Amino acid sequence: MGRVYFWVSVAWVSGVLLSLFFGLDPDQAGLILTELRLPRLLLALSVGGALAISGLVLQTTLGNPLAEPYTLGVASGAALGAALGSSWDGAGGALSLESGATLGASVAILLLLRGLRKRSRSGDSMILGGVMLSLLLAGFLSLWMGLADPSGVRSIQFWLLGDLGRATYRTAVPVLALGLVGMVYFISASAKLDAFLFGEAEVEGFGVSLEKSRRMFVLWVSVLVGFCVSSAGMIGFVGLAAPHVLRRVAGTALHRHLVPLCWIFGGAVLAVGDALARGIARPKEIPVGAVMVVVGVPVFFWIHARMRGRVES
Amino acid sequence: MRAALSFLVLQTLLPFSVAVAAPSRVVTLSPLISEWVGEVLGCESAVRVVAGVSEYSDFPECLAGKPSVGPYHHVSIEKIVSLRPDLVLASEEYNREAIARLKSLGIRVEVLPKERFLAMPAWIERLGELLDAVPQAKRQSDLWSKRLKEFAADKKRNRTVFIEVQHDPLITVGGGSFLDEAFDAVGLQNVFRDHREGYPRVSRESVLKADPEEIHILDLRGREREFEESRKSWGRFPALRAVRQSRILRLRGEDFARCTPRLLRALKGLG
Amino acid sequence: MIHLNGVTVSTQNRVLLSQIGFHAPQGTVLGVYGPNGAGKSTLLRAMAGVLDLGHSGRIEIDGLEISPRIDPSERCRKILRLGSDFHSSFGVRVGELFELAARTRGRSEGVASVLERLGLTGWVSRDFGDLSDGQKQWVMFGRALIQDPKVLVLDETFSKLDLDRLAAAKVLIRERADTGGVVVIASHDLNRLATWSDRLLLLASGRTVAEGPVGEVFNGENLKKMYPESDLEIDPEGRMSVRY
Repeated sequence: MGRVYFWVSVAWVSGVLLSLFFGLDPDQAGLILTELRLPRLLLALSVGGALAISGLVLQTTLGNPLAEPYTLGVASGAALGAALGSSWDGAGGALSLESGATLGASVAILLLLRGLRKRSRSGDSMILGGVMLSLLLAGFLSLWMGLADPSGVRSIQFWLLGDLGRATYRTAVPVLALGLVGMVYFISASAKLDAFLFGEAEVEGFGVSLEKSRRMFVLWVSVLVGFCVSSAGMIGFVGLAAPHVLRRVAGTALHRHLVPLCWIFGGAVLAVGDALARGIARPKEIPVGAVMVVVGVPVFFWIHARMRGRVES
Repeated sequence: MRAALSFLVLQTLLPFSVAVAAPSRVVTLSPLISEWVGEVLGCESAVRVVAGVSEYSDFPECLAGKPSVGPYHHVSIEKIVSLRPDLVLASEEYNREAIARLKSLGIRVEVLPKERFLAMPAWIERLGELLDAVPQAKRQSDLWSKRLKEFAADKKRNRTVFIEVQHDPLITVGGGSFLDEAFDAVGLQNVFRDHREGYPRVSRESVLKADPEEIHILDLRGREREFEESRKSWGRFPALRAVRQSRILRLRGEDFARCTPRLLRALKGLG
Repeated sequence: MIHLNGVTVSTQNRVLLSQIGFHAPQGTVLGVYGPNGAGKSTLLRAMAGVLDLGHSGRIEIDGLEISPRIDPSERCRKILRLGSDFHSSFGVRVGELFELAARTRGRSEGVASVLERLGLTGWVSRDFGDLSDGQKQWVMFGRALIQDPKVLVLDETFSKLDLDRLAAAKVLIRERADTGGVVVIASHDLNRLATWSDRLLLLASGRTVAEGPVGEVFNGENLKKMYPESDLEIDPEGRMSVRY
């Protein structure tokens, strides 16, 4: 296990260095580092870590390896809110996207919790509900995009694919703080999470309340995801892939280690992805979500193939 | 006594002159602004003064080699900062967050209003103020005003037109675009001028309903084949006047893409 | 140890269990049997407090009344139910399962000896998902022994065990009962159930057909009550057989 932590930390440090220094213009480097790159790095580490943990928790809680942070519809709510907020012309147009996203995420969370209250015990029915909610909200978003001014649509399209470039200390620090608190919470709840490993029928057999713990987990994840999407758009892939990679690499399914590993690794991955998204075609910026998928998927399969042998032995 | 007086005058004038010093490291955030900076300052001066331009700033050619700060709808704040600009010229239409961010970093950003064909003289003069090139700007704005008067005088009868910007999906020019006023100035009355947007998507049905006298197909990329296909496609609707009278025309050239002197030259050929 | 009184479970359309009542003292191995749909699993789930539908009537396990308000950690010390099918979507190791069980129990001494008795010591690093169904059942049985509840409910948990393991299981079940616990087993094999159990509970259509010591309950008359259409009898060796 020590080796795993070591390599994951190496990845983290690499991510940090790449993010800070890749493609850095020597002109005004100091100002760029402190005012632009550092907050952006903080946001990348926080969002990457939070998304990875959220994906892990949802996969475990819903008993589905395909679950990921956006499964329950919170992100679609944030996206719709962001779209509506950004088209709210008028004073403070620059802030409307973030506040709209936060509002949209909150509404989605409330809807989700109301649905949960209906004692729908099965993880599958929760996934179905979440998918429906996502589709509904995405539908509204498409509607908006069809009717709205093309320039408004343009600016939000970039954010929809993930955009860490709007990061300031003011937006990054709360996400970092929340993410750290969330990580600590999930580490302390790792025994409860472990109880879900054999399906929801076995949870109570390990002395854990299925309804209560699931509600708490879903609520925490929703809040984390809401914050992430509000500040950085919809960055995919990290939440789905990081837990899988780490389960393979760490050779354990127990959450006591997976939670902190996901936090570190998720942050590292997103930092690297963001460095590439910003630096590869500079000064043009590629949406980070696109980079994550295009680079991430082949790497994911490569890791999968290499790890295959090791796990079987 | 005279020395004391001139000293006093100098002291009072000095702060003003420092504040309005000509910018020497200008960054533009849209190709339109880049082109006008070139027009106002002239190439020699512009090359000295401009530190960075928006991506796709292909006019004037002398500025084409300048460092790019990214596409007009998503500029790179990092790049702009690294160029150490003392003036950033932005359009009010895009990059609201980037503008706010740059300002918070202590960089001077001046926002130019969205361009309107008939209101260009004021726009040009504002640009001149910001560049500390008022007389040069005045020359340009006077030229523009003169052209406007010429167009008004030369205008024969008005014809109703449908201006096709893209065939599939069908996109046209709306009231929110500078092209609408531009065409109107030479007697081409856009049937969709009531749309607030700049480039609205419309249905073929609505074109049939409007039944314009002419159809002008805006061909910005010089693709002959695409124009032919569009023309044939319209040919399927003999109900349209424009089809029956074979008034489907091609507006060639990227000169229509921006509200600059090139547009004025291109418009002269119409009307 | 186990006291049931007037336990009824129903949905909107059907009554699944009707007025079930019985007692099972410490040291009992209780066999539960009935035709398909008789309500065996429903009853066992209700007893373990994991039935979504809830129940009316009273279920008391070792002095604790089973209700939705009970803290699961308290409840699973009293009663633990194992089903017959186990599944994990993630690469959990057998050893990690045992760790979970020990953690739930609250202490880890005794784990090694359980593993040894079940021959699972070398299995610790194996992936649970790679095991066969029978192996999973055996491992889960080991987990249950580690968790050491007062009442152990095995809902067809041994359906896929091989003969060796069945023999070992029988011994272990007996030991649990003899050391003060209660084991409740549901099975489709009435013959085996009859040889393993002290008492039998026979169900049909949600009602009790008979309940009591094996010798009293395991007879042709009760078989007829459960299977009115078939021709069943107990042969001279005390085994139920069907006259086809």
